[in-house]
Amino acid sequence: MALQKLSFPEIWREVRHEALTTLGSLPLAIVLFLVIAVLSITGTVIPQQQDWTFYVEKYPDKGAVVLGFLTWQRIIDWGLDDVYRTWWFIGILVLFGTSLITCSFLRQIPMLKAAQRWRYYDEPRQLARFALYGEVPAEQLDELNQQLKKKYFRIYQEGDQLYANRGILGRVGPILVHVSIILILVGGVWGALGGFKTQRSAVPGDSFDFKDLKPAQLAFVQPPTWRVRVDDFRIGNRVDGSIRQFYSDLVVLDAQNRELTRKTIAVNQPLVYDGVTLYQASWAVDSVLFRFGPEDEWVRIPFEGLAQKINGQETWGRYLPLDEKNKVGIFLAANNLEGVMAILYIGDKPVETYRLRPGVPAAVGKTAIVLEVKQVIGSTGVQIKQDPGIPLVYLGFGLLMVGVCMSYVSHTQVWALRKGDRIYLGGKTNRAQVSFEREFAQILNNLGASHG
Amino acid sequence: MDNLVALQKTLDDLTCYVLIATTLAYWVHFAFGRLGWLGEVATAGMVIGCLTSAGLLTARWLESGHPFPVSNLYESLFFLCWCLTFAHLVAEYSSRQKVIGVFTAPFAAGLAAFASFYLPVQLQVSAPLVPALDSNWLMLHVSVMIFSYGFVMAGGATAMAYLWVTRREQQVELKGNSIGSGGMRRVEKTSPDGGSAGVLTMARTAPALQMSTLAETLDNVSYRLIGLGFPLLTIGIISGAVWANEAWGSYWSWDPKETWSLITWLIFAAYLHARLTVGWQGKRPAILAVVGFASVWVTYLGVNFLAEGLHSYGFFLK
Ligand code: HEM
Repeated sequence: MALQKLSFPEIWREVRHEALTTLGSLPLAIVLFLVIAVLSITGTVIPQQQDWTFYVEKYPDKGAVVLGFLTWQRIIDWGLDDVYRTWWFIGILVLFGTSLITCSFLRQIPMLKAAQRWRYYDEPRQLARFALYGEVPAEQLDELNQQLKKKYFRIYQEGDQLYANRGILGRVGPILVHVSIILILVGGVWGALGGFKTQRSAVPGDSFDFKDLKPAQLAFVQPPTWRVRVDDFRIGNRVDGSIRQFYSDLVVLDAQNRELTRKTIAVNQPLVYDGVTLYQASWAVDSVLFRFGPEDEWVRIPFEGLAQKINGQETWGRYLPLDEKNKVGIFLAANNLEGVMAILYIGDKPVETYRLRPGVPAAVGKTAIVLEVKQVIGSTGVQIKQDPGIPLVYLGFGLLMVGVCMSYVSHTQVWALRKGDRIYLGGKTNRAQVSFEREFAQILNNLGASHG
Repeated sequence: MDNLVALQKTLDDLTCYVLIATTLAYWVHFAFGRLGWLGEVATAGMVIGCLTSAGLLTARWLESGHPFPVSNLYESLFFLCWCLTFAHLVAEYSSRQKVIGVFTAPFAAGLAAFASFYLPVQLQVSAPLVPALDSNWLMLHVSVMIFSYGFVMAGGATAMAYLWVTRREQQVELKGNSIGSGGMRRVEKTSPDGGSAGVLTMARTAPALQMSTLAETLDNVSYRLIGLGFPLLTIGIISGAVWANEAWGSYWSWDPKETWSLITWLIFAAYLHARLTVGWQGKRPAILAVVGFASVWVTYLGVNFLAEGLHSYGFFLK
């Protein structure tokens, strides 16, 4: 091709064609599948979204450098602390999406059209080229028709020529799969830009709102103007004491304190209001109402999370000094809402442990001190999310499930031609080679073929 | 109740020993020339292993009253063991090739042995579900995931069998590929320029019906198993995503187990597309299938050792 003879639009067309063919090519898709897989692995090996001090400690730049090159500096620079949100990871995903769209138009739709086009053959040698080929006596044409019908083929016949096919769904399936993945990707982007996600925790009686919500760059989010009051938080136990469920009574209020809706949420049972979903996500022991004996006032002692777990469960607690000089104190700890464990310390030594429940006080030794708990107050952790991409993503999920199942179906075609005293029979299938082979052999046998 | 527990113990032991014996039977059968009867014994062993593991899960199900048989690692190991033996039987039946068992049996036996001998006893007993796991969506998700693992693992094992059978060939030509244009004959008498076409083909004379060779059969059966496992894997991942979204408002959070299931899914997607690609057929997809096989193991067990995410059994409210 003489280049100088090409006009600019022609060159452009040429370049565009070249670019699109590459973009929509299968080898590129395969490479992208594998590249995304490998990049994803890094994020499962290096802990993600930790504080940078974590990486400084775990991935030193001197001494025992992990793998000889993986220093914390590199991890931060390359974004390996948050792989799935780096520009290069998202860039690859975008490239992948583009490839998928290109491929759908360039290959898939033409392939489906090609699969739907068929013709009769009028020469035995044309049929002999098929992977599966056989010959049967000429008088069996009607019987062949019957056999194919029994095997759910759709049959077209014109005189001595016959064509039958089955499983065109298997050709539609992949297209549906590809379209649905595009939907999911688009829905994901839409949700990331048009939604928000946040956590709030509150004790019964408190409420929270969304005034301080800061949408990310590029986002077009409208934070809700209503607020939520927590009326109660409870833990439901089984007979054996293990936790069965968590419940929070939520009330949605408008600016004038009017009740808009209310619901008791639980794990797996969120409240959906105004396109925003509120999930039961976590809980904590917030505080206890406590006193040192019947003469005292009830005091609310705030708890904080302890590094140490008790019985393998997350635990909250607080130390109450009694006598600064002698270092006598009471350590209160709880890992449920039913009671508190009180440990009497003298110096650094635990001396005595008491189990306190509301209405079950405990006297400390021979002193006048009586430890009493009125209530253990739990706070509920609510995750709040708005994701306008969900309908699109769910539609994609639905179509994807249908599409992959359809893609299992094998598209099978059979041709037959009666000529002289023989019927020449050719067949092919795109997926279930082995089982169709058996079927084909069976048809030939049933029709009294003289093969083998 | 006690009867059910005793029955479980018996079936647990039986599954282990039968599958170990089955593995040996397959290996000996292929190591020392084909001893006809030993092959039948191996297949029978697989059938028994499939039935005993199913029996174990049924007894467990009756005892615990959970709607699905997968509330802890022990149950999930035996469920996977059952799925793998089941998928193996499907593969062996549809290919009429026993060589697949050389590769599936040891893994099925390993699963049963791991559950029975290695897991501490307190992890073996049936336990009530923590709140986050007490959901039908989740149970559906876990069951479908494991079921899909069974099929893609069997597909991967069949790909190993394929690679083993063709280990002396440089390149293998196959007629069945997914594009459908491959539905042409391998051996064209008129085209001597076909290169190495049909290394494995026996010389047959037209118009004899050309049946697939051993290698082709294994290749196709491996493809069909993965073709069945892939939709299951897809449905499994989606049901997990839907559940996560309904339970805590995020359908994808890049937790390690989630990510590894995506990695596995991508590898098998690459496999399916490699089969469609001219010049990629034969060994390359088979290698991808074996890589996918390894990835399933990492997803299923390895992640628990890699990192602690949402998915370590009984997370959320420890
Ligand atoms: C996550 C992304 C993708 C998934 C899950 C997916 C899934 C599938 C599945 C299940 C099939 C049927 C395979 C079979 O015959 O057994 C298929 C076929 C196909 N895919 Fe993809 N695919 C994806 C991306 C792509 C991309 C990026 C391309 C473009 C380069 C592509 C091109 C094709 C082609 C040409 C077919 C053959 C269609 C047919 O047999 O009618 N795919 N895909």
